[in-house]
Amino acid sequence: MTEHALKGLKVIDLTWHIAGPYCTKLLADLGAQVIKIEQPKTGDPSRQEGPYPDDVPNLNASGLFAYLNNNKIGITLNLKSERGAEILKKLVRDTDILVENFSPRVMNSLGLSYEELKEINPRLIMTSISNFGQSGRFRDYKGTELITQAMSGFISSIGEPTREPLRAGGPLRILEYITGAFAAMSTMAAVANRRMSGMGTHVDVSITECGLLQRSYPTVQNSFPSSPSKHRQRYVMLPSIEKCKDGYIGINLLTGQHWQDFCLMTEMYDWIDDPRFTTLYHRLQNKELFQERFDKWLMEHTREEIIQLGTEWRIPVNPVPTFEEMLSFPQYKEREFFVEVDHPVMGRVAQPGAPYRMSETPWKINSPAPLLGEHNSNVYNGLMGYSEAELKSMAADGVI
Amino acid sequence: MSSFPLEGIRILDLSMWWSGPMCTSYLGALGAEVIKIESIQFPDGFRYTMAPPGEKDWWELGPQWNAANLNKLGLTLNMNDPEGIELFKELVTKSDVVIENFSPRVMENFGLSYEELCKVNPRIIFVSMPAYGRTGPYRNKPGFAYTFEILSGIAQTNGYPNENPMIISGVGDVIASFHTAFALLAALEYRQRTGKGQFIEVAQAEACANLIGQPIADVSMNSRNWGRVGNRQPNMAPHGVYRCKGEDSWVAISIRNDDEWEKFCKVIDSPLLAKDERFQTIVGRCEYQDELDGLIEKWTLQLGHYDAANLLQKAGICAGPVLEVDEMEEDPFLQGMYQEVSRDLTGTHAFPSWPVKFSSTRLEHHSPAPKLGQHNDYVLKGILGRSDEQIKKFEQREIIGVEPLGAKMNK
Repeated sequence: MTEHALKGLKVIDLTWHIAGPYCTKLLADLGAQVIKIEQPKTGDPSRQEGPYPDDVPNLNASGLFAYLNNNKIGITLNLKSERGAEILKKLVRDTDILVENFSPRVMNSLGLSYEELKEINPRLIMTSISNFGQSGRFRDYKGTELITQAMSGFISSIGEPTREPLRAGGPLRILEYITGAFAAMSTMAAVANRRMSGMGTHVDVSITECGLLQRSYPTVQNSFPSSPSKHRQRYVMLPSIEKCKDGYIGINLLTGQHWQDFCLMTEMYDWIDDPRFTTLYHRLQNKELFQERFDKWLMEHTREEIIQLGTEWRIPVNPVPTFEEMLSFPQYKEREFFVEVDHPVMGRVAQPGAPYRMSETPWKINSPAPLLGEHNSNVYNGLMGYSEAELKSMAADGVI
Repeated sequence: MSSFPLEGIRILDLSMWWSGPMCTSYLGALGAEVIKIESIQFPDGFRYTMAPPGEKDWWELGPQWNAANLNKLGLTLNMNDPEGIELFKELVTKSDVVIENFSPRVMENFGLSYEELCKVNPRIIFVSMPAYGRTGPYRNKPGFAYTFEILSGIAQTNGYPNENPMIISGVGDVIASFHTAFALLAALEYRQRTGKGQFIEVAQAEACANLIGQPIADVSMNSRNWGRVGNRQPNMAPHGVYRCKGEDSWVAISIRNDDEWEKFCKVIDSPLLAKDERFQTIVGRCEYQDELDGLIEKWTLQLGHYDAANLLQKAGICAGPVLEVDEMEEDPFLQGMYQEVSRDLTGTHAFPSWPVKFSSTRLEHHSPAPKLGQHNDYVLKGILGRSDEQIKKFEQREIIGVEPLGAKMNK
């Protein structure tokens, strides 16, 4: 029998969108018991994000929601109702961790601030994820992935220097995921702390601040007077991901040796020592010239040929698999990275598998993401001991 | 919370460049004793990145190395010398975690498999961060952040609409780093509960691929391959980055619904736009987004990026300046994240600290990056009980040292 790293940890999950659910996903996938609480009727907005099978919208068949919420128990509860808040407080009594990513004033306004919950359960670890943190004059600023990436300086580094800066990861909202992971590790730090002190902690994680860690060098680099180059503009590699005869190919030249071998590989012998091209900085200055000649070469070669050449010349050349190609990509295939999860509405859907492989406590999907309110009866009747009649009246009052 | 929840945990950190070091820098900030192990034969390559070749002590002067290795002690050990390996194994008996991000062959060549280390310390947690994994056809291929970004699918979503995919400038390392830190802390928790250590493999490309659940679901269910859409977002429009007054100055704006659109038209004082039938619904605004972008830029071009963002935020609209590198440290929001740290040879610099507060107290750095071999004495004498004489011998045999052997050649 395999064991779970986080067996016995009980988590109340009030989160929605991506950052919070990704945090609790990491906890749930290592065996924490996560009870996800959603608002009645509509649930987590990621239920409305899709993708859906055959593009037919269905709150119980969103690909994003399904991916982020495996292994969780799902109930509905209207926290804005007095009764709803009371029920949550009851749950908090016997929980280790509460995670939420509402706007900073919301938990206070519901009478569910950390201070209030700590009174009920001093061992409670409460993790709050927000765009700009729980305090300070920016906490009420409105943000989306684009705004948090902008205000952290993240996107000023991405894109062509002469064009508009680009949000990293397009519509994926990667900074939400990255912050979710950071929140999960900081929650575990609070768990370690509780082992020593016996007391809970309020963990306050900011998405925009997390964005700064994605670009932690440029400012430092500029503050070191001895560093030979300053970081001012958007940063691109040349070459990087290029279009060739039959698709895209990734070519990375990190060293002077790589450049020389690259010239030999592409038979551009006259450029080996040409100062216009030997360094990335100079290549970027002469980008058009470089690109024009290189594009000709690229269009004469297939991905397979260039990969073969890259191996021969010891240049880091990578295929650029599409998502479809990733599912059959030999490295992932042989390691059985992608897994299929059988979902009662969506059927069998592929998803990324273990992000880490732990010898004693393997990552595991035990149950698909809950349908909206799927476990109401298990939790309210089974776990909390409410009667059928009480459940009915709560449903009638819109509490669940 | 006490600022040092990992007090008493000792981590032997063989990792280099960014992905491993960022993870251990965080664990160090949490109070773990992180012993960064390099050698004078093979110092961390990051030491040379952006460092001034030929200057005195230049391997200590690299900004990136200094930023990635705060909160650690510095030890040198030549692992190609059997005695270096012996010292390492002895350290393992007194440690909790070993972490490395070499390609899979390296630790095998040192004879330092998890099984081998378990013999000297069965409670050890061994964290290995190969680029693509210890198995599979890519096992021995060179890997770094750019290649993870490409092979994990993230680059497929990054770029200008319908143009080439682009890398995300090294962030693949941070993604791998955070997932590793989480797994490691979970393993520590498990060991607290059961007394058992374990082996953790984090294939860095796979950690990055954990962010692509949504497009994988789409291709799996609908055979649809996501491409590039620039700064646009489904279900929000307008949504983009607009040029402002000044050189290379931009403001980001997201309009999430019709109500915000109405407010937006008021802020930019354009009753004409507000009335235009085509823009009343999200569907219409998406359809005519190119035209809208042009109209919006006419407004933003008259304003500084902070001013434009502030006007919109006041009206409750999602907007923010695109901070350029030279604005970040002074920015009224971000400045709370910067922390000044002083160090011999490099002086005082502002480094990003950690984006978390524990019960209102920010997690901060508590020591600068170590100099090469700076804590050789502390580790070899203090932890392993070696004598001055023995240490001198180690120096003579180049098992330890404080100056890279290659430094002169690299000048």
